[in-house]
Amino acid sequence: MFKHRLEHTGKFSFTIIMIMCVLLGLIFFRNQHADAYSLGSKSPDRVALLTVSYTTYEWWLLAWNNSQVICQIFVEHEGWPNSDEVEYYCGEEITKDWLATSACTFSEELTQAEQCPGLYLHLISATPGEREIEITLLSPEVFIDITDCDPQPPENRCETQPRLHLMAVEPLPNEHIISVQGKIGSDSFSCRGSECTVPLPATGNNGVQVSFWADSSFGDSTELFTAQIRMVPWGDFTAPEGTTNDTPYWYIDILSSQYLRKLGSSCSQIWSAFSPVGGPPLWLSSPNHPDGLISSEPYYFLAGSLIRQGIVDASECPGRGLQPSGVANQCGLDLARPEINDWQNQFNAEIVRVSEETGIPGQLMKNIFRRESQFWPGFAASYTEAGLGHLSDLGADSVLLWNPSFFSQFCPLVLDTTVCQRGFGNLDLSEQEMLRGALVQKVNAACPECPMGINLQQANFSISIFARSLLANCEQVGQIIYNTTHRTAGEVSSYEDLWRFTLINYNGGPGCLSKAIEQTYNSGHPLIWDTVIQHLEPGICQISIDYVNDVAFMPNLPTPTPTPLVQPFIVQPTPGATLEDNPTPDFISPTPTPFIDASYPSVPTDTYYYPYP
Amino acid sequence: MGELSLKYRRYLLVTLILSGGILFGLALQGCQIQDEMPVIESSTNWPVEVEARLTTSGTPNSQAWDQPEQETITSSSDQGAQSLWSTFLSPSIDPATPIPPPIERLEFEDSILVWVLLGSDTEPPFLGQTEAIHLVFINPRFSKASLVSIPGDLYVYIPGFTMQRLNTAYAIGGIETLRITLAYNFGVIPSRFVLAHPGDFQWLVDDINGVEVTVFQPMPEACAGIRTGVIQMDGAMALCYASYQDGMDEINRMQRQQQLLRLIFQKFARDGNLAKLPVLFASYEGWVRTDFSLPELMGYVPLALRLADPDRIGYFLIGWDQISLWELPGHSQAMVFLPDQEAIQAVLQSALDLIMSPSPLTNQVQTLEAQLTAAYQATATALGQATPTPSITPTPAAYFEVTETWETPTPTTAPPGYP
Repeated sequence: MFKHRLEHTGKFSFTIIMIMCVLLGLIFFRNQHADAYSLGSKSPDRVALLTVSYTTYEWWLLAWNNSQVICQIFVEHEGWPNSDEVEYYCGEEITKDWLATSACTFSEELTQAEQCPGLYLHLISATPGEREIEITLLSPEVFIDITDCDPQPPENRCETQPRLHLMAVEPLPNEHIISVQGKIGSDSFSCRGSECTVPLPATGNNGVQVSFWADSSFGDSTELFTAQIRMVPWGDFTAPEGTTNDTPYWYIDILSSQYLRKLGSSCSQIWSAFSPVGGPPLWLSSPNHPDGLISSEPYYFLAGSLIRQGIVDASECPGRGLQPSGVANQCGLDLARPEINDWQNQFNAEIVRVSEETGIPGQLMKNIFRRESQFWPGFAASYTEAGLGHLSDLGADSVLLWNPSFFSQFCPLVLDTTVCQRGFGNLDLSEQEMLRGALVQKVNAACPECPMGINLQQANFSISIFARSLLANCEQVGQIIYNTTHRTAGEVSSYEDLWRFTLINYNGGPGCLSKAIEQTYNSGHPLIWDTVIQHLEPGICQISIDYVNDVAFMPNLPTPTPTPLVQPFIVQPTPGATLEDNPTPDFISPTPTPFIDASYPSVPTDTYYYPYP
Repeated sequence: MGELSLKYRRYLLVTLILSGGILFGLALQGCQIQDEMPVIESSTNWPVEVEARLTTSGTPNSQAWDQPEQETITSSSDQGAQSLWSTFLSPSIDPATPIPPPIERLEFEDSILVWVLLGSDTEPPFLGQTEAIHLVFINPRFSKASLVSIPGDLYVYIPGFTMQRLNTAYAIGGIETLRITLAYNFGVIPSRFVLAHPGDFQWLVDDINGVEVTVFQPMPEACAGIRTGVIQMDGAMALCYASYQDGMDEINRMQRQQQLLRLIFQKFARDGNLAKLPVLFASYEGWVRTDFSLPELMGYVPLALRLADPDRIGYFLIGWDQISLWELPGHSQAMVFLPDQEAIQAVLQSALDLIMSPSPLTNQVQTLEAQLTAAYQATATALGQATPTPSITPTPAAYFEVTETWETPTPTTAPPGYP
């Protein structure tokens, strides 16, 4: 009985105590720390104050007739104040009077200074002084790389499991990086010192978000950098007893501005979208050698152009090798094949160079040139399209608006620097038109004085501009998708489809794409190519589908294309007529037509959140 | 049999309170008692293999510690620390200023405890700079302690690295690097450390229902403006008050930190709040980094009650008389504090002298003991126990030899102009 009571009491006490422990634990238990507290201290500013010596010169502007001081002028340079400085201190009217005043020269009639008309300047004092100028110091940075593997694009395949390597750099002397830290997904990592190597987890196709930063002994940190990293193991990792004939591989892809290796595609980073595991499809590939772009397509339009320019002699062919529309006939094409092959491959080297420079897939650029101009950059049906990629007024608008880096370089060549500082979106409509027209003209390789009517240097230059135009379209596509879905493009669409959308945007305009994206999203369908094209409006938007299919088409065998993909400049060769060696086509100055699409603003406004760096 | 039952129930109660609280905390928060979060891999700037005695490295400023002195090291748990005294790593990076020789090692009795209290500016699990560094010297025999605050911007030699701010030592190499840095520059190796983060500090203040702080200087630009006078501060405001720094005036900040530490300690020791220690330990151990164990802390409860007696803790700081402002070479115009080794040694010696001078305890200690006992009784009563006997009743330990016959006045060690 007593024993039973003792056991009962013990169980009761135990229960009560445990409950109390749990309650007390809950009272004091901290589930998680808050992210931020209002620390009274703050990081030091990376600025240095430089003391600069200067001299202030005080000038008085006086009237000749009574020596009254009209105004005071202060300048910090030797010599007379200039008219702008006088106007700043004295106003426009007084400045005019001063500028109109001639030298006071004594003569028989003019014997006293008081008789002179107008105003004169007199130096009153020169006062030395010092002032402090604030100089912003360089900030530390963190770069990322892959270790234990040397992934080669486009496959980026590793035979050993790669690890992430972070390296921080402190530019200030006598300051040091004290730690490199960050998160891989939700897992934190922290390393002492300036370098850090962390294992990477296997990820899905969309990768994992990595954020990282470094702390400096100076007392501050780098900015918070991010990377999207995908590591996909490939092979039989789960073979029983560890026996398998498969060689395991790891496919590694990194999207980050801080990645030290060559990026697969700059648009990939803009969209935060990985290309397919193992590399992009052929039409989006980026060969690292011009030979990787070699083609031998039979281009009727190009053949016709070569015949018309006298580069190919097809006089023995019917119609001198030309059809009435101006493209080559079969005979002309056959005769022009060697020149056609040379011509379509002469831009390969520049395409590869630009591809490496901009991150735009080289094969894509070549395919677009094939579709747009058949590599004849001289002229097209519309004179507002120029260059190998037929840059149009609309394309020029995109590149100027969505590629601020390019705009800041190009604008001062056309407009005043102070005007350019306003940004393309804030320019007057006439200024925007002028810039667009100048850019289209800049890539126009037509050259009546050149031997073939083409300035090949200009044609090569147009490739670089065209690549930047595509970059701008990538940005625009990313923004369109973000505006609709509030998610990054890579989260809702695949890399390939995003490029297809970009081509729709380039060819049909942002109005076509934004409406289709919006309707697709609102109808609950995924933003994939097959669903989005069903929402493209009839007309130019629907026609863009063929454009995309043409660009994405990679012919394995040379298939004759009797119908040219572009409408050529129409010439009506007169039978028996002799073509001039140096024809001089009547070039019409491009008249920019600003693209206005009511459905999508051409100027970003504050209401459009711009999530990209 | 009934007496046996009562003893059994008391034993059960005490054991379960302690173990339940600990296990609960460990189960929910994970065992993160020790120093650091798991560092995945670190590629530090200074290879370990460069370790060499300064006497053999040929560094002009080098100076070896005398081997025989190792035997007098008093750190109770520092077998490994003894080796720190004999070797210091040579620098792996050229310093911005010549490396001073290691400071002369402090001499004190074996029984003296040396701890270091650190305040990080970053929330866990990430590393940050230790913006608060306080050395604590404790003489358990006389129940006296000295707290010496050190500015984080003090430019010192971090062995194996280079000359750099003291507040970076922990981030650069962890607590061991900080320990050896303190050994090199202050002649003392702390045997225990506590690293609190901003959130820890804030919650601790909130857990004791805030502190009443007398503000002597207005801080209009800090913490949404703090006026002078007596101000009730919650955790957030106390955190801001303790961490605010106006330019390079870190000395003023250290004074504010000392003020808060004093208030928090006094409040924590009152009203039986120490009875919460096991629960608080379990609550904070996932966040506060320390090498204290709960049983070890519980053993210090009686000492804590005696230290809460007025004027038994002296507050010192490495202030303007011990440092000088120096601009780092280069164009960054960053300012640091250069230490005056002799002056610093004098401050440390004063701190030691204070705890070596006995002084009588007041009756307040008995009051605090009674409050603590009452707090345990209240807890036990709530559990339905008749006459519980807490295991941590502040019974003076054997080494307590406090006598109340001394008439030596307690020295006032607060800095001039500071309460």
